[in-house]
Amino acid sequence: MANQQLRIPIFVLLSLASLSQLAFASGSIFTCEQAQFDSTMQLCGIAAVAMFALIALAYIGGEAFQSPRMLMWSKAEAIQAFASLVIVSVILFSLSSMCSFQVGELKTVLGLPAMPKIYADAGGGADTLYNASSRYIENLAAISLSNINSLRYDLGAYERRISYNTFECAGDCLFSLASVSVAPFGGESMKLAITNNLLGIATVSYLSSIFQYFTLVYIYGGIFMLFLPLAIVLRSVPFMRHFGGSLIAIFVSLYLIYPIMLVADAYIAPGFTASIGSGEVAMCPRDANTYCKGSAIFSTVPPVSATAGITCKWRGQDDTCKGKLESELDEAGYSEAKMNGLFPSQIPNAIKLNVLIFLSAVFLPAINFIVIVAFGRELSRFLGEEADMSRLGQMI
Amino acid sequence: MMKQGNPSNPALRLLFFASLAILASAGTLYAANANPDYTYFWLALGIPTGVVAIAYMASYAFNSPALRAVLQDELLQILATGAVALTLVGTQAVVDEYAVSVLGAAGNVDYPDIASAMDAASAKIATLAGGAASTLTGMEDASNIMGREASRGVFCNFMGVGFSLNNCSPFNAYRGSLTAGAFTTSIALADTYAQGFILSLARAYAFSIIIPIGLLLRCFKASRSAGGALIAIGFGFYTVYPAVILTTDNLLHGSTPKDSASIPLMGKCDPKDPSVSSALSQFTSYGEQLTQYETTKNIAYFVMVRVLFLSILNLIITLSFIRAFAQMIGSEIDVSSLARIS
Repeated sequence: MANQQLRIPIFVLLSLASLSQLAFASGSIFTCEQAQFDSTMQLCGIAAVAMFALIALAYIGGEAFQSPRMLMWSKAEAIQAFASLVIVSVILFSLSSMCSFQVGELKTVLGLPAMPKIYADAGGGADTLYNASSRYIENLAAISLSNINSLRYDLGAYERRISYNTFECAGDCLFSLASVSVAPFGGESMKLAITNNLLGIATVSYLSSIFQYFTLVYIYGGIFMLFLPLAIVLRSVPFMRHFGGSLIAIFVSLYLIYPIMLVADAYIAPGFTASIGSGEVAMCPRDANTYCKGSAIFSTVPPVSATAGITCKWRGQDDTCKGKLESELDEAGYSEAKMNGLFPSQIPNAIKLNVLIFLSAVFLPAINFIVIVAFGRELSRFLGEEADMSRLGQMI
Repeated sequence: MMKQGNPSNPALRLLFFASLAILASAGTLYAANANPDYTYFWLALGIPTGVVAIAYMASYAFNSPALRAVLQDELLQILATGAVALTLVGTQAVVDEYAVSVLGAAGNVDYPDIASAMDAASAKIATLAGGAASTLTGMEDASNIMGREASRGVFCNFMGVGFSLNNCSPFNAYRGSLTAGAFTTSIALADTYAQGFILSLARAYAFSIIIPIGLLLRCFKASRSAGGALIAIGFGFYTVYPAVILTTDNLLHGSTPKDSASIPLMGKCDPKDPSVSSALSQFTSYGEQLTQYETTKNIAYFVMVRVLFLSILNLIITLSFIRAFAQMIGSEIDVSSLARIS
């Protein structure tokens, strides 16, 4: 009976081991590099062989000393070592699949009606899932930074306009040398306060997106790959089995679920603007180099609706987006007309854009981490011990 | 024919029958082309059923009764997930069919040509956003004029000796309060935009992507908790959130004026008047206009109660529901991080 039970893990193990290599494709992500993948497989193999050797020694010892306890322990641990090997094989198979599965294929397989523009523009969906998650978070960070640029320009423009004073002739000024001083934009100190607050929100959004970017870079760096061979050993050692299960759960959550959630975010982020009833969301770029970089994360190909996406308006395009570039702030001149030409963003529009970026950079990741934590906890419980990953969510 | 000595067969038959019924229902939903979009519901339930069926066959191939027992449990979970899916669809239909008209009647509001709670809530949020934006614009205009007029001063100088007269500067006293009011209104406006974006996201993808993924994940043991979280979040923001928005806004107001008021604008100030009396009377008069009870009450009620307070309340109720519902379908989640947007 025990032999029959063993057939399943062996069969699954061999199938997955062969498929892992078939599914493998080299990519720019470190985790997906052939050498990294091979060395992980090698380490897992060494860990498995070492573990089986230890169990074999225990079995031999059990036979030599006629110790039924040792024999029973060896048999039980052999099954656990097999189970660990199957789990690790499943993970490696999933990992290699994510290195080769493309977002374009995802769209085809699921029959989705549209693809995020950032993926359509990058080889028509040729990104693997790992590259796709990086691309999304890079674009999110880019638009957060463009937004900060835009707000910085607005603050500079308000500061210049508020401090601007004119001296008007008071009628008899030629004789009395009297004049009336006026600060025509003095009332904009209110807008300055509001824009300062918006900059605070924009900074939080930027920090959140950049935190996620570096987290992803760290994950892709491959440090957690060491968990896999370690997990094979630890899961096969009594007393440490639960700890090994926790390591596997952490690995799966960060290496498999987190990138998938980011790709899911890329697919659903355009939904924020798909059916808003209060008009378009416009962005006024204030830097010729960054322009509206990253704004494509809210667009799909084909567009999901007429209001979907951010309208990137270059200066002078219409009344929403007059004004200058950040580098031209000091060229404003001294007349009131020149000061008018600075034309900061309209406050309601700036608020709308900020809220949109904040939701993408903070609200969606908060949902991601709720799901990741729930998944990690359940998986670790399934593998033996409940890992408390709730702190991860607090990073957002 | 029931096999003697194997009591699990009748139960298994029941499970298979029920799962097939659920799949058939999901297929019907797919064919119905309804709003919301249930296209992927059948796929979310079909894939796990297929996986379990293949594993069940494998259990015979490898002669593993233990695996069969596990699979029977898993099939039960697919069945439960199907029941959850049908409950979501049914609840959504009830909310769209009845809740909108009931809530409309309670708030003495007619929603012509609006078929769903989502449409009604989106229209409501757009109205609130328009109101908050016009209030903010009014404050901006008032502040611009006040800043310009309050800055007026006469400057007279001859050979380094002279005087300056700033009769209009007392108007600066109002600017701090106006800025505080505008600051609050800008946050209220941000709240309404955020609600609008969340509704838009839920409308586009809750039933078409988020909930189907949740259903799919809920069918497997290791991802059951994550699936439950996604189902609860998707359903919470698509069905409960719009209903809560309509409920809190329609039931709260009664006969109280619901709209904001326009901000009075000050006239020109003459800094050359050597007597301060005219500037003083202008100052007092504008102050009275600005702090007039009806004006301030309407603006404060609209901005602070109808927009700010209700947006927080709506979110708290929705998140409480999400947490409770997730728990009900087998997922313990901490939604406090989502409350940070309020």
